[in-house]
Amino acid sequence: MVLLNDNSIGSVNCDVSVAEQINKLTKELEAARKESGALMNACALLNTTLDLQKLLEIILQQSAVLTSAEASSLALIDQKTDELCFEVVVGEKKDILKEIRLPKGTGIIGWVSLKGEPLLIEDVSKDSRFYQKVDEKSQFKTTSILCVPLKTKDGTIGALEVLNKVEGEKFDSNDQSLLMALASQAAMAIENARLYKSVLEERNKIVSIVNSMGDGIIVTNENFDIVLTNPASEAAFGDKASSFEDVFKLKIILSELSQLKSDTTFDLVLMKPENTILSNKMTVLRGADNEITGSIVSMRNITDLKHRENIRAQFTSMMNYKISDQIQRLRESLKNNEISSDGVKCIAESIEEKVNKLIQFSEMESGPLRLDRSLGSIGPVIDSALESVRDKYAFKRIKLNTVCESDVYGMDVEVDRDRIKTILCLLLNNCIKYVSSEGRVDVKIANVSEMLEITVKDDGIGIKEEVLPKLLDKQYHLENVLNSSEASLSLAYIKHVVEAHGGTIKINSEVGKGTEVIITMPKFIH
Amino acid sequence: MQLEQSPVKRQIHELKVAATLKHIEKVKQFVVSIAEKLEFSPIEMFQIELVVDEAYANAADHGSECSREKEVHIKCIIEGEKLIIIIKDFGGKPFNPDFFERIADKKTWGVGGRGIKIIKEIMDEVMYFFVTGQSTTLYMVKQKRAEGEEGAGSSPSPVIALPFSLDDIPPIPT
Repeated sequence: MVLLNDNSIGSVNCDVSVAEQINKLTKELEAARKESGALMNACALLNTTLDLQKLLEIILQQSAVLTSAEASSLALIDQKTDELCFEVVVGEKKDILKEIRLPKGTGIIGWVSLKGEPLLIEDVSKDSRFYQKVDEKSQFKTTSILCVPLKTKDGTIGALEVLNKVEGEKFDSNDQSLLMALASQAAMAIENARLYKSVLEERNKIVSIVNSMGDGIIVTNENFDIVLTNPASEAAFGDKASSFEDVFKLKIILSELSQLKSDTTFDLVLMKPENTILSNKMTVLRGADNEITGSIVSMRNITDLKHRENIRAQFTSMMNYKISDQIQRLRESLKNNEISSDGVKCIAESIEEKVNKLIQFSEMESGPLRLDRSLGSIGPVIDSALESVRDKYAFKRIKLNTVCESDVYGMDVEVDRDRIKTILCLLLNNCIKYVSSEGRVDVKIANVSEMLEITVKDDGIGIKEEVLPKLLDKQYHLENVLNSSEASLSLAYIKHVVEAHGGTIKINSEVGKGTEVIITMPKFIH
Repeated sequence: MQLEQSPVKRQIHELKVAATLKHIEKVKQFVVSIAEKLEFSPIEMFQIELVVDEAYANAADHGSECSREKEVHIKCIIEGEKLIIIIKDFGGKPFNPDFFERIADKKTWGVGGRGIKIIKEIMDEVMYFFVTGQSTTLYMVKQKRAEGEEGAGSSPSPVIALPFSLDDIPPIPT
């Protein structure tokens, strides 16, 4: 047995009190350490995602854990409608709460969002601000609420609330501080996730625009590695064997472009295995310090345009060469006395035909014709054209029948008389090629509704249905001339002259039965 | 963009010469020495030599006007069974290779003008890259084929079957 005197009893009492205090402080410290750890853990979790929906779930889970709450919910202000929108809530009823939208300032959460101040309500039944309908919808019985605002540098974006402390306990100021600290981090994380989402949406918008463009687009980073392409650029460099980024010739192009370091226009002619001509522009993207941050290469497919240019260039090259070659041969033959007058005539006609093709071509290329119109009767023009082909028709024994009433013959027209004669001659010469010996060609001149109508109809071999739509197309005839010396530009030229007079040309044909060409044009300039 | 940085293994060889036709043999030897590593057939080696002859002549003569101050860069890359030849001149004078290729079929006058047609016949891939006022780059690929396998240049070329005859000049009556 140990006997204690008063002093010693006092001393022991004092020691017990200190020990209790130490014990209490130690527990508080331990609790604070745990809370601080939980808060740090919660904040760390907020940085694990930029997906807004996932982030909201993390915020709600962590706020409930941090404050030992039965449930938690979060509402964000819809910037378009100013309503409060419950984004998520932890618990069985989260789907129901997701659908709830509250008018501005409604309920505890609305009040906190509006005022930007925290609110701790121990008994919600005694607070008029409590909005009963959320409980009715969610079938959750709320007794106490701790609600804090979600604030960013631009203001309050919503509020975070925890409901009913577990095991009947009450929320206190410590819970409020913890929830405020979490809410501060959460608001920043929400803002970042929203910004990220809007950047993604903008990017998707840009990708959609780029994908819908007819021109090829390739976007690179600062190392000229591809970061974005569109279907048009992929089609231009189609390579089934390797992915687009691995197409070596594209790497060569980008490697060359990377050395230029400035905006550049360039052409690509992919001759094999593709057959594509691309006109391109590279725009260098630069950062705030003028450093290269990437580039955009736009590619326009000009294959068809170049093809048409090529045909024209080939046509003129060939005609020029053939004319000079024939002149040279004629010169040599004359020098050696190896040619008769018929021979000279034959070569001269051949040269004249080529020169005419070149003249027709150049007139068609140089845009609308400048007509030399004069007023006079149409009859003599028709006579003159018929006269110039009469011998050829007689030689092939083709019957040339003309229908032109006397009033029509003397009818005044204001046209380019030389060109009308020329196109009529071209039409009649065409007929000779396709009408057999003993065949028939009818020429009819008429006045139809104050329009001059010239119809040339033959009983020749006719034209295939699939060729008919191309017959008045200049390009079609140019390509034919390159491949056959028999081909001519005459139909395209006739159309050119008729259209210059404000008229139209129509061709009807049936294989084996013949062809009918109808030209209609105004008699006078209106 | 680093050409070497790729999962595909490539051997890159480069030669830079002054833009003069005097170097044509040196350029051909350079390309041939690399092509030999792929063990092309004698016919294919001849075709490659022919292509380099035409392509280098175009780069030095037409591209750079045989200016000794300008260079022509020749790159040979072996990638698996492929020989990639890149010839770059710094004349910066764009032209339309498509036109020259097409006209080669019909052209019976003058000398030259069939180089591009020959290159296209023989090589498996052909691309021109023009930066106006700066450079012209010709990119060509020849794929090595197994014996008997059909490939570019394996059939008799119409280009080689010259000269063409004019079909529309009437016989001269005497």
